Order: sequence, then C-alpha cells, then structure tokens
Amino acid sequence: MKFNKVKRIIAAGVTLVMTACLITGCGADKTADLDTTVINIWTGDAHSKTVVQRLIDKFNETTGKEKKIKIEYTVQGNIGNVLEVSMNSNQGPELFASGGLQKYVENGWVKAIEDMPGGTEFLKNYNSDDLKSYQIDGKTYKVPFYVTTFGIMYNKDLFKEYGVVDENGEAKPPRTLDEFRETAKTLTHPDKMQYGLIVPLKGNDLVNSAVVYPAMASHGKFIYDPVDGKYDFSCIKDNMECMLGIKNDKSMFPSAESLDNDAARAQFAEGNIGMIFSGCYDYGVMTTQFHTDCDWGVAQIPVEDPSNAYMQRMASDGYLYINNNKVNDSNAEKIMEVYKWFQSDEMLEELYRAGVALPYNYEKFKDIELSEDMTQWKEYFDLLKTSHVIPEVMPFDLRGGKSYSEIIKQEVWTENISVDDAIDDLNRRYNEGVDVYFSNNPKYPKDHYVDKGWDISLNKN
Amino acid sequence: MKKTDASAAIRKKGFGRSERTKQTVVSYAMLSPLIIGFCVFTIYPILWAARLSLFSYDGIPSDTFFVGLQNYFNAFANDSTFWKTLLNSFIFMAIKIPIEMPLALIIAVLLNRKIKGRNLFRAVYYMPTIISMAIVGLVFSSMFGYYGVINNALMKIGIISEPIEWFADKGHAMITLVVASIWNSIGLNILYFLAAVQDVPQ
Repeated sequence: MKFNKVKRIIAAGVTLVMTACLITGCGADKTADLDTTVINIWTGDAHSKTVVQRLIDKFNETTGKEKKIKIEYTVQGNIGNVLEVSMNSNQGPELFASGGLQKYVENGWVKAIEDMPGGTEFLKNYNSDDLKSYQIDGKTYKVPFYVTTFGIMYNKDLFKEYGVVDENGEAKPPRTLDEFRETAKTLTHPDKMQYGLIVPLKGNDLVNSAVVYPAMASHGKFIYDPVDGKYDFSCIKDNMECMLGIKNDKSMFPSAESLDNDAARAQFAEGNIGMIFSGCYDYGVMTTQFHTDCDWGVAQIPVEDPSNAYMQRMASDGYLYINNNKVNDSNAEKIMEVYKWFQSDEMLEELYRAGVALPYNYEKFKDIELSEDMTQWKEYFDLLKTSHVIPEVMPFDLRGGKSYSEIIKQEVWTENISVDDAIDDLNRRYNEGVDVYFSNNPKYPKDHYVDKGWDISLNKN
Repeated sequence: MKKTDASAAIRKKGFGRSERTKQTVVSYAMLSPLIIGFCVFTIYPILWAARLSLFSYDGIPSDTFFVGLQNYFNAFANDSTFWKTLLNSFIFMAIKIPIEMPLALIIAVLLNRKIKGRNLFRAVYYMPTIISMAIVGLVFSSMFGYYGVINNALMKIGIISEPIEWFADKGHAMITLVVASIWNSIGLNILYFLAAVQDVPQ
C-alpha cells in the first residue's frame, strides 16, 4: 500500500515536470512589446554567428528600439531543406540567405527588391553588371555581399625545413603545375608522416578544388566555353595529369579515400602536410576551430603558364532574400530597413574585420587595415584581384549517364581510362546532352548562355 | 452446459453484436495513430515519389515536365552506377551472410551454456547493435585508416610489412565494410538464435 502511494507521488511529480517543460516551450517572448515588429532572419552561416549576433544585439538595443524593430537571428543547419519545408507551409522568416534563385522566384517565395519601399533607390548603390546574376526577367532578388576566394594553403615551416624558399629564405609557394608536383615530392617524407599534399577524396574536392575549377586559371574557361557555347573538358588535362603524377609519386597523404574535408584540414593543422586546396572559409577553421601547429600562408592556384594565366575561380552568391509571403503593408518598410542594414557596407566591414566574410568589392575595402595576426585573411582578400566567378553554363541532360565528377573520381583517378579518353567521352556526351535538353523544355534560348565578350586573361588587366 | 450458461450470461449482459462493434471501433481507434502515421509518412511519400518519377524534376517549376518512363529507362539502360551498386550489394550479401549466420549460431549456443559472466557476455555482444551505423562508419574508417590501429597491429604481428590502403581498392574496401557490418549486426542475430536455442529441450 505504502509502495503504491510512493508510485503515485512519483508519477504525479513526473507529470508536473513534463507539463512545466511543455508550457515553457510554448512561452511567448514577453520582452517584445506589441508595437515592435519582429523580423526573423535565417542563414546557414555558423562560422559568422557569434559576430553577427553581437551586431544584431547592438542594433536591437539602438536603432531597433528607436524604430520599433527587433531582429531574431537563427542559424539553421541544412538551411536549403529547412527553407523548402517552411516555404511550402507558408511559414519561414522574413529574410533568409540561401541559393536556388530560379526555384524561389518561380515558386513565388521571394520578393523583388524593386517592389519593396525604397528598393529601387537602394539598388542604385550597385553596378548593373554586379546585379545581373541575381536578376530574373528584369527584377532583382538579391544583391552581392560577400565572396569566397580559393587558393593553396601552404605550410611555411615545412617549406623552410626542406629548402623550398626564395632568395630571402622565405617559403616559396609553387606557381606552375610542374613546380607544384616537384614541391609536393620534396616535402614528402613518409617515415616522418610528412606529405606534400592532402586531398580529401570522400567529397568532391578532388574533382572541383583540385582539377576542374583550377583549370580556369590556366585556360580561362571552366569545362564550358561561354564564347562558343560548347562544353570543352580539354582544359582539365594539365591539372588532372598533375594530380595523377602527385598520386603516383606517392606525394599525397595516403588513404585519402576515407578522408573528408575536416579530417584533411586537421592533418594540415598538425603540421604534417605541405599544401592543401582551400577556400577563405578555412581561415576561421584554422584560427578558431583547429589549433594550427605551423606557420601557414595562402597562395594562388598554380597554373600551366604564368605568363599566359587567367583569373581563378571565386564564388559569389549574393546574400539575403526577402520572403514574399511575409511582406505586407504594415511591415514592408521595416523589413526593408533591416534588409538595408544587413546588406550595408558597415555590416560588411565589421564581418571583414572579424575574419568571417570577404567583401565582394575589392576597391571599396582594400584600404581597411586588419590586425597584424590576420595575414592569411588579407591574403585571401588579395586573391579577389585575380579572381572571377565561373560563367553560367549551358544546361544539359545526360539521360542518366555519368557526370564529369563520377568519371574523374571513378574512372580517371583509378586509371581505368586515360585522361584523353575521358575528355573525349565527356565532350561528346555533354554536348549531346545540351541538344537533348534543348529539344525538350528549354527555359531560355542557347544565346542566353553565350558570352562572346568573356575574357578573364590576367594580362588584359 | 457450462458453455451454454456462459453464452446466456453474455447475451444477458448485452455482449452481443453491438458490444463487438464497440470493441472493434475502440481497437481501430487505438490503432489509428499508427495507421494515420503510416499513411502520411510512408504511403503518401511513396505515391508522391512514384508520381514524380514520371517527370523530369529539379525543384524548379519551369524545368518540370512529364517524361513518362524515361527516368526508369535512363536508370536501367544508361546508368552503369545503378547496376554496379546492385552488384556490390549482392557481393556484400554473399560474403557477409555465410560468415555472420554460422558465427551468430555458434556464439548463441555457447551463450546458452551455464558459464560465468554469461549475462555480461550477452550484453557485450548485443551492445554494437544499438550504435548508429554512422558512428560505426566513422570509427571503422578511422581504425582502417593508413595510420590506423589495424595496420599498426598487423605490422607489429608481422602479417604485413607496410600499411594497406584499405579504401583504395574494391577488394580491401569490401573487407572493411563486411567486418564493420558484421560487428554491428551480429548481436541481433545472436539474440534471435539464443531465443530459438533456449526453446530446444535439454
């Protein structure tokens, strides 16, 4: 009997605790008053969350209080999927950062900036050329904000240890593909677990970072030639052969098939690796996430012929969209107010100084002085001078056939087929795939994807 | 007589058709969350995906158009990865099952005996089953790494003179996958065999 009573008391207690938890979860924000408009912003930028949240807190305490605006900022993992679910159920934030411009516009999820109060005036701050990538049918849905530059991270200590230095005794990163292969060989000492290069083969780093995108710096085009509107994979030959050479020289960290990006960067941080292909997002990884045991620098992607080199690849995807379903007459101005603040040069400067975002406009921000310990961040920013976004490629339909990524990883890298055979096969199937696509349901005519003026030669600049 | 009395008692208390109907309704009401969940989260997505499989679809409405059975044709006729995946699955199954099943049976028979620490052994053999496959993958890819414990152990014993790149070729990678999978799932099979063996009279 006594035990039954105890059981009842315990059950009642557990029920009370669970109910309390449920009620807490349903609690409304009691700090926001009824006149304040809450603007929700979602991004997937975990790396800049701390900095952005600090700036938002400052906004909420100052301008926000004055204008009765409160920003609530959330970083979502897997933001693409989360947004799709929320948009399909007519929810989601007022502002969000993601890719997928065409999809969002056609589904009516995003609002054109021109259609917002003060939007047309706001867009006058940008070059019309800079806005082209974010426009559909003459309307603008995003504006450029930050970019991602790419280069080679190199271990200066290892370079100096094995004499890969210039006349001043400073580490000398390779500039040509031949130098790249030779340097990797020189730095490789398996008995000390030191390797010249590491490439995580689990993802698409081999294909994109090491072969396809770097080819743009040597040949001025990215597997797709926008001048004549054709796919041409011959540009990847030099880089592919260089990588195969490094693999056969055994200058690459072994068993890279099981390595993902983080594992590869962790190895570099340990100081055992000479070089790794990297993006500017690695700056935060190497300075905050991993304790880097070596002095490291950032260099340009090696090319076939430096006297005839081209701009290397950078990524630029604009930033915030405005959620069409959330805009109404009562909040449109406030949403635009937050949008302008978030996309402002002041915000961008703060993020740049904090080492979390590179501004898209080199000329505007080049004179900003960073702290002395941010050398590598400055090096990533300087790569902007010799970088360009990849051209919009002609759509294709391979009808289930293997993509270039699968061919390179599964056939060329394993040396089942030669590089030349792979190039011939890819050229034929991709250009046939273009014809298949255009025979079915083309969105735009072929001319849309042709740019006769495409010229990213470094000599031109 | 007793059966007749019982039937009469049941009829008297009104446990007739209406009561059976009531019980049926209550049973289905209790099952309904599961049935509704199954329909919403399993059946509907299958039907949605089946319908979408007849379209060329990349998420963009203007790029979506009906293609009939072309996607299936592409998968079977043009996509060699599909057949390779199927073949690899069969190879995996052909290697794993003949090793795991007999091993599980042997261990189950041993665990059925009265040995000291029997319960501890049973728990230990079952524990890998509750570990998520993602964690198992991470652990084993680390263990079978070039500088991992497996290579180190094999070199120390003298079986190999230099490390094996376990993930560099199909054969070695398949061995790694089979070992990891057997380690992860043998506990469940031991449990099944143990339950069966315990039913066998002494």
